[in-house]
Amino acid sequence: MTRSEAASLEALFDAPDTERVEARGAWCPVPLTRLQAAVANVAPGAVLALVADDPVVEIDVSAWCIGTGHAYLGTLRADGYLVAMVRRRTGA
Amino acid sequence: MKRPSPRALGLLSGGLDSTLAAHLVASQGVEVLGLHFSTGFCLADRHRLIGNANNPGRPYRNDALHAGARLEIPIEIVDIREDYLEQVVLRPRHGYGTGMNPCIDCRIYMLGRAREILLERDFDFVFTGEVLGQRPLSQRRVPMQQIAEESGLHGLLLRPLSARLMPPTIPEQRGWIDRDRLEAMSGRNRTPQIELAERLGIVDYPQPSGGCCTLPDEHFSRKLRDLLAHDGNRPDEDQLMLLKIGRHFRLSPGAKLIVGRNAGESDLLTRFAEGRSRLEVEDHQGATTLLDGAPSAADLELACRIAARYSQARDAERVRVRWESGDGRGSLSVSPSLTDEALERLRI
Repeated sequence: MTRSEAASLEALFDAPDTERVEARGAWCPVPLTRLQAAVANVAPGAVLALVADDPVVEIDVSAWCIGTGHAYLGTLRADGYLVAMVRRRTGA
Repeated sequence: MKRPSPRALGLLSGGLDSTLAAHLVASQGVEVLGLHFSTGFCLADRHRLIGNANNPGRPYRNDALHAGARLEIPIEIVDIREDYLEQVVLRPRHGYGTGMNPCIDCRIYMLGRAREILLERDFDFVFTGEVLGQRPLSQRRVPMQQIAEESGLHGLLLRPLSARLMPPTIPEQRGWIDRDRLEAMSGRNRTPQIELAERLGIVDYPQPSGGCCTLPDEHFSRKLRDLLAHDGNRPDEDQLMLLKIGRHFRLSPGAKLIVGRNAGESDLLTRFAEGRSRLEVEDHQGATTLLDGAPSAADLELACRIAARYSQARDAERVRVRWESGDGRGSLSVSPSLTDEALERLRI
């Protein structure tokens, strides 16, 4: 991820409409099941940010998005946690 | 309005068999949703928490999500951990296998949950990667039929890898699936699956086969029985995860000791230190050691000796071991001298 891509992602994370899904302290399967539940409750096109400290979140969310058709936007690394960003697909 | 294509739910572990089954169904134009049940007894959970020893910095993948990505089918993770312990592991109506594995009840439970999703969300049938004769308990002809009946799915359950050896199911009878494009595999020989995977271009699948469930493992089952006997029938998530990590020693009815076997386990054990005593050998390298329960003074001393025994101070005459818990901290000077036989007697 380039510096400008990371900056765009950080701006998206800070955007008021971004739905934050908190999963720090939880490990598989909880971060992903929380993200699944949250995706089902937002409008198509909405952005979600899964905040977790389980390192498998990045690889899990990117793989999950390929299968589900949601857009995986990337993962931000902060001090001791990750933020995996997803945009809900617009189709059915 | 009529749906353009039939819709199926597939039980997807991410192993080769369920991946092949999903491919056989999805390639016939069926819309597939893969269900991945998280039971809490998968060994991969431990690997994923420790990390990928062969590829440091690269996390250990979830095979079901990886298979879904490869096949471009959505995967839904279904967290059944709480119900699974209560309703399946502790109360199997069809008994256990070699360990505490209630394989028949497990299949009935998961397929019953799949049936609920089928009814709620308007799916047409369910499929699995089961192969006739592959496993001694749940994959013989009679239990497979019994599982279909007791799960409530009856003819709506398709096993694509062995379908042509079994009576036609409703999806085949109604033409949702072409039976001739399904397989006739049976037995424990994996060659037909490996050959089919090659023909389909599926090369990146987990090895070895046989699933990642810890319950058939005799050693794991012994630790689970010990936990249930001493800590009641409602162990929490952390207690269950700890069963997959380290050497376990039963010091007394009220105290259990867990010693990390390598750096990865030691790192992982530190995450579970809250609510337990953590022991550390002074001035010598050693494994992370956790003392669980309500230890007596004698338990604490024995725990310190075992911690010292598994440190680089094992040959010393005396060594000081520090302990720390939420209630306080302290240290003891102990002898690491413990015979293998003495340790084995305490080993769970």
